[in-house]
Amino acid sequence: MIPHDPTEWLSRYLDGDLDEAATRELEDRLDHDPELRHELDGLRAVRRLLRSTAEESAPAGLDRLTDPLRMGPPQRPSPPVLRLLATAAVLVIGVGVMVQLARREVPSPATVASAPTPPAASPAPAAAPSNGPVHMADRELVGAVEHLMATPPSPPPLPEPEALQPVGPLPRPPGEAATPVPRLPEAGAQRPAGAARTPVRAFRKTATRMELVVAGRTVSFTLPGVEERTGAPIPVRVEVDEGGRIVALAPRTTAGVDATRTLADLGGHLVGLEVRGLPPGTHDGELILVPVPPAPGEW
Amino acid sequence: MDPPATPWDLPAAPWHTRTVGLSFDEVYVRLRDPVWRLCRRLTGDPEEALDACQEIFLRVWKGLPGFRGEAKVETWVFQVAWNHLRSRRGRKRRELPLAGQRAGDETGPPAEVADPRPGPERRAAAREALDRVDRALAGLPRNQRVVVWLRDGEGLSYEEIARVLSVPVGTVRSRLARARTALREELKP
Repeated sequence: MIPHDPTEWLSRYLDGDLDEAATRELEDRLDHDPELRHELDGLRAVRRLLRSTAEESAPAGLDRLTDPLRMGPPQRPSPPVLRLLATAAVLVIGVGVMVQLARREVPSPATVASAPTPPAASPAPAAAPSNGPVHMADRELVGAVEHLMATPPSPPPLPEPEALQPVGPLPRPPGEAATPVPRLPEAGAQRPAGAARTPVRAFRKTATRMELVVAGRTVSFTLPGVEERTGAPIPVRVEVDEGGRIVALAPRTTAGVDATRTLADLGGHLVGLEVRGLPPGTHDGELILVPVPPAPGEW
Repeated sequence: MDPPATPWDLPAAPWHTRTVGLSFDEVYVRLRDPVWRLCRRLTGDPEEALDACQEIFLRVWKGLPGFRGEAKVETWVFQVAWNHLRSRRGRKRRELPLAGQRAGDETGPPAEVADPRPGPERRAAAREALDRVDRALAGLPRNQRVVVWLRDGEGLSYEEIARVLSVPVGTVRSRLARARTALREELKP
């Protein structure tokens, strides 16, 4: 049924959007309603007018604006993080350049009056005496530039290197046995009484002080150049001989692998030490590792 | 209705056989004028329309590699254009003056498509018709303006317009009817 306001039906009728029944109904109405037909003609004229203006072409200026786009496929924009990093890098470089330029600006009148004029041919103006307030940065810059500009003396010619010949393993004389490779002592291994301790070479500016607390006594031993190690006290069992020397050091528990390794690496250095007043026999104690910062100028 | 088998729904041309992989140049050459006309009708200002066109085709250029043929290229480009023009409105409110506000504004009967007068007279008549249409369109709400232009100016179907505007087809029908009725009143002698 045609609605009370047939405008939308008329519009759809123009576009062929009505179904067959609605179309027939509207056409019957149009045959008997000149006002509705006039309204339809007006809508049709509007449509024709709009279509007549749809031949307008884009101006040539648009082609010029879009020419760069037509040159190639779009490139994937760089991620924002990279763009931020690039921007930050440019800013840092720019600030650095500005700072350098600011340092090289013309000094104040007082500075100019009191600063000595460097000799034109002086190769090292930075070393020249200066009583005026010449900035250290200026001196360093001037010295650096002249140092770079100076022509270094030509070095003496080096002898031609001799060609190296590849050699194989060195021949071993017949009947000579191979040199045994020294092995590290096992954890808890006993050191013979009176045996000399292997000296520890300092290779790092760190040290570890081992404190062995046993039977109310503390034995301290510092190993320089050993990697810093800290941790909970390691329960150990110590064997002391008649002379009061530590002959064996072993962990009391096997729970901590690190304790075993630590004793193997460090505890052996306590073996052979003499602990005064310690009765012979087996004693339980604790090994404490304390990092020791090196004294100033020690190494 | 079956979906279009080709981006342009024109199966004769060889490059129409592709649904993806269209070059920007192909799209631009095909849709340069329609997009320009849409911008011109909706902005009402040639300079602003030129700026809008450039930005729209920049968006098309960026989005074309990701276009997978879900719709006709024409529909997709108009969708890009409409989204841009709609957001642009908030940044730059420069509208055509309403119809009848220009000096010497004259309304007459709607012009006919086929104008038998040749040469400059015909061009002048087309220019006059264009000015009248622009003035009449400027009096419409933007939602109605875009609907009536896409339908009567560019010939898009109701379904395509609904897709461009992301509205139901019924909304397109009602907006189109209101727009045509308003234009008829505006262009009435």
